[in-house]
Amino acid sequence: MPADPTRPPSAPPAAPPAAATPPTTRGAALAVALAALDRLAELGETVDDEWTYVTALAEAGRARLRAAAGADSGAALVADAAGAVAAACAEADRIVDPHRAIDWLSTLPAVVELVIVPAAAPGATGG
Amino acid sequence: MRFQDAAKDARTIVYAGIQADPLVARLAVLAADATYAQRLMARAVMNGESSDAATWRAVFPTILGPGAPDRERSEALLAASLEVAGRGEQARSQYRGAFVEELTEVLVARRLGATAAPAVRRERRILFDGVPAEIHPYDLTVEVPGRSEAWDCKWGARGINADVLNQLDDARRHAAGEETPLRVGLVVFDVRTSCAVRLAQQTASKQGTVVVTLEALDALGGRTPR
Repeated sequence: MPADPTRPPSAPPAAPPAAATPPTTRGAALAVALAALDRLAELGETVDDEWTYVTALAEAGRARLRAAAGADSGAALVADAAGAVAAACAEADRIVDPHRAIDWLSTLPAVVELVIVPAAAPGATGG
Repeated sequence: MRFQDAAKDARTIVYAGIQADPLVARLAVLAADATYAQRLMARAVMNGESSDAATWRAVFPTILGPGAPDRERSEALLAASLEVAGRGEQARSQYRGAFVEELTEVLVARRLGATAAPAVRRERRILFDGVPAEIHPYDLTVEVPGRSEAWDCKWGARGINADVLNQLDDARRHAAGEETPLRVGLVVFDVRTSCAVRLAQQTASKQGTVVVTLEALDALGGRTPR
């Protein structure tokens, strides 16, 4: 297939950041997750045929993460959740293959959502 | 409308070896009775880079942490998923595909019940009078007169494309032309959001095609989510 004609010239993917302290609030978790998502999207966008899908998927992922974080950005995360968000985003940062990045772009928001709001899972009966 | 075994070529013979690997069946049985969270974990692990269980326990404390409900299943799923992830890039892709097919068979057979389970078949073509046969077989068919089904299975939303949507819709329409109901669908081991994004970008006809996502697998098996 030809390259996606709507795709702008690509920039090299950003380097992963150094390991950070686990986020302690929902707002901080959102910021960490959004940054990891953006890195996956940059990597995934290098697959020419999938640029349109990747950009739409990244936007849907950002919306899902913002919804999961909710309005109370200062709400504290329990220690397990803070570590889980950091670990999930660190795993995302290990991805170097653009095709795998697209798979992770799909998975990361759902994983972070599960950590922040476990009650959002289908079939969940409570927090 | 009639069903027919697909011709075997070199690729299908190699792939049959992967489909028959006990790891695939073990993973499918574990995932069939898993929760959404456990299935999401399996997807993440089979997509992931890390091969150590400790990393994944940190990512999924609600199902792999101390005191987590049904932790034994979560650990078994984690171990099996890590085995798939450890097979190398090309093999892991084939194992993941075989896993989704096997999981689909387990769930569909469960919904139909023991007496109808033999009607659940793999790698079959569907033939219609006066219509050239499709080259690619369906991953799974249910061959019960009056309530037949045809399913294709995908590891991720990226597998949804015009070819597969057209093939499924063509089969449904040709069956309707013979006044034979045929339920057609895709089973995608990926989250609903991603499938919706992918589907929105497809111009192929999809209104008559069921799309079963990671969140809805229990319904495929005739159960409500755990």
